[in-house]
Amino acid sequence: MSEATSSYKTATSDAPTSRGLSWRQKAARSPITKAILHPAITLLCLLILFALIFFGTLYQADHGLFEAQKKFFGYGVVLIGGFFPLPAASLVIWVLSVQLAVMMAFHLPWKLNRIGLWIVHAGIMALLVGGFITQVMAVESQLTLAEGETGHFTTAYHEHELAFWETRGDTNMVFAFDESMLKPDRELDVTPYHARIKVHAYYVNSDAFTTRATNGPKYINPSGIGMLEQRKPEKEVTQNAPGLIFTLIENGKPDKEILLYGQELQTLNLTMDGKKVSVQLRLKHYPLDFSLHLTDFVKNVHPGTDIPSSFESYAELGEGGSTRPVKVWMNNPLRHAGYTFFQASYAQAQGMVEKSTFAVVTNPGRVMPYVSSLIVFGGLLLHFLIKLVPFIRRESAK
Amino acid sequence: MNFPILTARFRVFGANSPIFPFIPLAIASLALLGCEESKPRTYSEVAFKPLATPMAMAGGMGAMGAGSMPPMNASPLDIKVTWELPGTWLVKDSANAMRIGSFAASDPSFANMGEADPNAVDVSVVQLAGDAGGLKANIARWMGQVGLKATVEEMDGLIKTAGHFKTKSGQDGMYVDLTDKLSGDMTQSKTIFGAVVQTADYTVFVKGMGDIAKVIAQKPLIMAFCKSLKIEGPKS
Repeated sequence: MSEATSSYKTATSDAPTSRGLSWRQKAARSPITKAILHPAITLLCLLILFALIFFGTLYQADHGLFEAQKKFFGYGVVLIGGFFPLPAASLVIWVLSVQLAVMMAFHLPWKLNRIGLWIVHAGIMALLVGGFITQVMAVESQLTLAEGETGHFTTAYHEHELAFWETRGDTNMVFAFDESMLKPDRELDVTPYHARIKVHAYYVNSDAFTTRATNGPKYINPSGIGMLEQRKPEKEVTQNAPGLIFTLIENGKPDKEILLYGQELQTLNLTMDGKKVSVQLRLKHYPLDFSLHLTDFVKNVHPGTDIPSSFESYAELGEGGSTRPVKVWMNNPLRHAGYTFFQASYAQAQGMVEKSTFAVVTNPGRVMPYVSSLIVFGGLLLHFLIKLVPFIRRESAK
Repeated sequence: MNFPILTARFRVFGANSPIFPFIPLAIASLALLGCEESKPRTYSEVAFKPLATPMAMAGGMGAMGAGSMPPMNASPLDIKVTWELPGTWLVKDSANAMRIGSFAASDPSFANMGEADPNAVDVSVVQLAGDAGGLKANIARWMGQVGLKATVEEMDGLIKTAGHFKTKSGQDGMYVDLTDKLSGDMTQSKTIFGAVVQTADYTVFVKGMGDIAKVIAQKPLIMAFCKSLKIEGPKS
């Protein structure tokens, strides 16, 4: 980027228009373009990213991974040390992306001997696009199975949903609102059952009590919970216990005052629109198009110690009526249908059925870092060779 | 440091305006940033069927000590267990198919202040099919969890002198009180006060485990909780 920036005055070589300058040349000479491509902005962005990674790592130790990610790598403003404001990483990366796009659109010379530079810039752009795809589309979840159990869906680590479902055979037909939709005073249509809900309160973290506030409403709850109290979110967001209070409106009339707690095991069973419906505030489910059946979990220890040397999960992957054996162990994930299953954790006790937990990731941008690295490498190599040939000729001529 | 933008005379509008190439980029950026708003999801999933055999989950992940859950045969139960919770108890998470209830029995002073009691007694309700491996085996395992051991005579004596109660739905129950049993090991800090409701078809366990003083303080509430159990089912 820097070479092209420093040589912008002679950069473009497009065919001139009737006024003698091509649109690229005009754009390249615009003060706005010059301002956007100023090297000081690039340098500042890189310094900010360095600071964000440094302070974000420190912040993570005290506030947890998810909180650090949200604060330092989102779109907001971070107060370093509580007073020094810095833009969060996503904003900074957008600035760098715009710089790169402008550089390629207006500034980088369209010359054959600069093709290496074009490839390098395209590789960097691919890396940024991959990062954006990952940020927007990647989903991380988990699947815990006991030996002999079969999983058909994974669950989120900490994001919750308000799920309504009816069971047909062995299948649950689910209609779910993401927790981000559960805002106070908001009315939401539960379209499959011709009903609406009006949200009164949604607490990211709360305590549940079986008592209820004096003169407070009597809520319907499957576990006998009568009252919620909002709590400060936990350092590790996975430890938050959300709570939700809403009114179910059927036939246009407020019908039921319902309280749900995110850590309840029981589901609320209702009859809605003449159908038996289960309702639960739960961790988000992500259905799989295939099944994973855990046949055996093996933990090996170093001889004479209880220190684990390896964890191995033996499973059967079922899809389309057929199954095949698969093995997942440390650093050797199972990749299938866009999903990657990593061996993440386990639970075992003497005389008990063992359990294995997989971290499940779907990330359409997964290959982009590899692809972009190869592109950048190829571009640098080509540029080097293009420069090397004239250099050798000059040296030979001396 | 020279920033041309500070001294530039902008030609924002007009056919040759350099701003035009940025418009699609800006629209795309805003569109992508605007993706935050969610819509309801509709999906189908094969219902999860937890194993009917004993699970090995009673808390965190990773290696666990022996005897977290009763190691006996169990089968799906067609019973429903409900209860009335003391006002100071908090409902806790319990990622376990057999642990049907999990509560933090907090010190009332903490509950009154609206704070979580860090040393709250862990109260769990577990239901299992049949005799759940036998009464003595289960009591022996509970004792093992707090570092106690009992001879055959001591075990018989414990059962013989145990207090009894009736649940709200009429089943006979028996308290298991380990609060006055000391292992002789001065490092023992935990104890258990619980109860067992056993019929020919199922066994329901209530177990309150925590610091000795805390468990003793919670005994009346645990006893009231046991009496409030309502066990309904075709075979109850």
